[in-house]
Amino acid sequence: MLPYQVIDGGSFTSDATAARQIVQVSDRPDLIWVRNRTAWGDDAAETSVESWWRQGMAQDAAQTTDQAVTTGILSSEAVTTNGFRIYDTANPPVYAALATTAITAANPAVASMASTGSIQVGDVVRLDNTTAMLQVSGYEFEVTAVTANVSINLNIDTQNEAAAATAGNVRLIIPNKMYPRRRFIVPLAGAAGITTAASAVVSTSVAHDFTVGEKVRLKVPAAYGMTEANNKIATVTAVGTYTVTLDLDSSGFTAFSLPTSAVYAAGVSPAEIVPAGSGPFPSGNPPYVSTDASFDNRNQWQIVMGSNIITSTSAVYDWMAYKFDRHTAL
Amino acid sequence: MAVTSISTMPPQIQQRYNSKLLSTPERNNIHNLFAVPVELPDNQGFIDRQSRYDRLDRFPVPLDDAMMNPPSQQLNRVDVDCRVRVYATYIVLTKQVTITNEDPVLNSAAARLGQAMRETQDVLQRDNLESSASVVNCVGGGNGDLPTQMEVSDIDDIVAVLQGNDGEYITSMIGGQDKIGTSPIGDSYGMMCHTRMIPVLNSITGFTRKFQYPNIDKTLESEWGGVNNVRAFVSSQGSITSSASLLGNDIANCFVTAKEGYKVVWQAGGKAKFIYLPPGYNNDPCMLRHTAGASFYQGQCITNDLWVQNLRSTGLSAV
Repeated sequence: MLPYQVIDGGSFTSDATAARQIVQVSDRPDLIWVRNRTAWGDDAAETSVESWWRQGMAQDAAQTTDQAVTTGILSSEAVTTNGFRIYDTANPPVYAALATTAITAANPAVASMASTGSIQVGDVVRLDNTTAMLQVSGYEFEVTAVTANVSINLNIDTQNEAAAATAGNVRLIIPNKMYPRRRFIVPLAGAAGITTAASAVVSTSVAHDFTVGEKVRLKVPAAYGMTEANNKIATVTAVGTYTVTLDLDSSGFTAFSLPTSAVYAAGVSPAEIVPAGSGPFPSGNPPYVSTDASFDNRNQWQIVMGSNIITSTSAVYDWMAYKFDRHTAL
Repeated sequence: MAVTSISTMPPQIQQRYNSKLLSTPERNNIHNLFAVPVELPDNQGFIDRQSRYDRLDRFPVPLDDAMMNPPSQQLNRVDVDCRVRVYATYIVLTKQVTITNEDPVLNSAAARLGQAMRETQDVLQRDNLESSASVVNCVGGGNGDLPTQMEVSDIDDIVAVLQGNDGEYITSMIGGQDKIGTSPIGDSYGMMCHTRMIPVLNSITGFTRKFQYPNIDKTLESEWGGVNNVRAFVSSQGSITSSASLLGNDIANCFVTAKEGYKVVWQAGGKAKFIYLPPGYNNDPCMLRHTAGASFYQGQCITNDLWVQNLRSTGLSAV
């Protein structure tokens, strides 16, 4: 091994809306360096222009160099949240539960939290002990909006649920990336978890990886209403981030709905969409069966750069990750 | 009286090296026990595709006297793809280590690499099953959580699910014998779970520990026991989802499988290898460092989602 080697690096343009970036690395780095190329020397707005993390610092921490607006004066800052997060998705860190004081019965459900910790848009959280709205406990949801230390939006429509939750826990989780993954079926944006239509549309609580042409099976326990769909296998004909359209005519089926809190407490299994193989790609010319649905291990080492690192949207960033050949701690 | 003790005359050499090594804990590898092994030949890509033809409809209606041909049926096929990936790790040892230690360090390095490799192969399959298998929550227990702790009614339910899906048993019946305290074991599906499930298993009504089997000739060390057509195998690297229950408790993912429910794929030219390179390789011009490595190729997938179920339970022993 060469001493102090650069194991990975590159550049990217930050997203136009979400202030976070994930990059893949080949191993756990000992030192990470990031520079905002667009803002470097441009003091049009206050921004973090350079950040780094080294072995020994806590997850989500970072040391940053901030550039003041107009004057361009540089100042140093040490952050403990929304900095760098480094993990291997097969062995992710376990995060402590954060308390929620209410989860609304609304579209989308909003969880009030005095501390949102390191939760960012796009993260996945799991709920438990959701008093009065037990039917969302144990489920995983993608976070669609964050108001720091006030609330997070959950990827579920709970407007038809009888009552809001009055307490509970929210825990950040890093999903394993074995593919394809089963997904929980939930009502979303005014649509039932499984629509009653000539081509049923299934909504998932977390972004799914299903692809057109893939075969999926629906698991719908009786408590969710649409028992006609249980164990049905169907082909995916179209996909959205959280939706899957199937070649399944569910127009005569019983409506899908989440079980009530009381029914859930009495014991039910979740409604799920489960991978079941592949079939001919619709209208493929020449006809073929895609390999997109292959079972695969897509786990990787990742560096997540949080909102204290990526402070500019649509900006070009350069980054490098190093590995020490020798590291002597204090 | 002058006494000569070890305080005044300590032994010149105060220790001896006992060359009998202490045991290294080794985890039970249970998740590939029931996998169908498949070898992917070289030079044919990195995805193994297997196909299954769907059942045709039964046709109980007789033809009428006009002898008109009935409507034909559509023959459908499902393809299941499994991508093979490459895994490798290695150890770097200075030559000084191997020429100064009394123990043959490289021998132990080889053994530990082999163990790490087998345990990795096992957790890959575990994570695959956790990712894709349908979830069935235990509801028969009385601990007030969801899932509850596993009870015999949950075992019966999962057997009914697999039987309803026409899944074949994996092991044959162990017939009763005239031995005190033993019970026959029925044809069974295999269940793979974490060792933290042991207290739950032992509390299941009618659970038969392995030592109560009439005959243990065809059992493995990792088998804990069985009840009503399910035999349980345990490992300290079984699947646990932390804080995932209704009440925020840990959940054990207990994978119950029928025959041919899932598979493991190896590459013909990429079978498990131990790779030793003596000093002088790998940018080592002064011949200071050995390397010992291990590599393997593996893919894993569920071949029939109806035949593998994730029976989830709480009530686990503390960590």
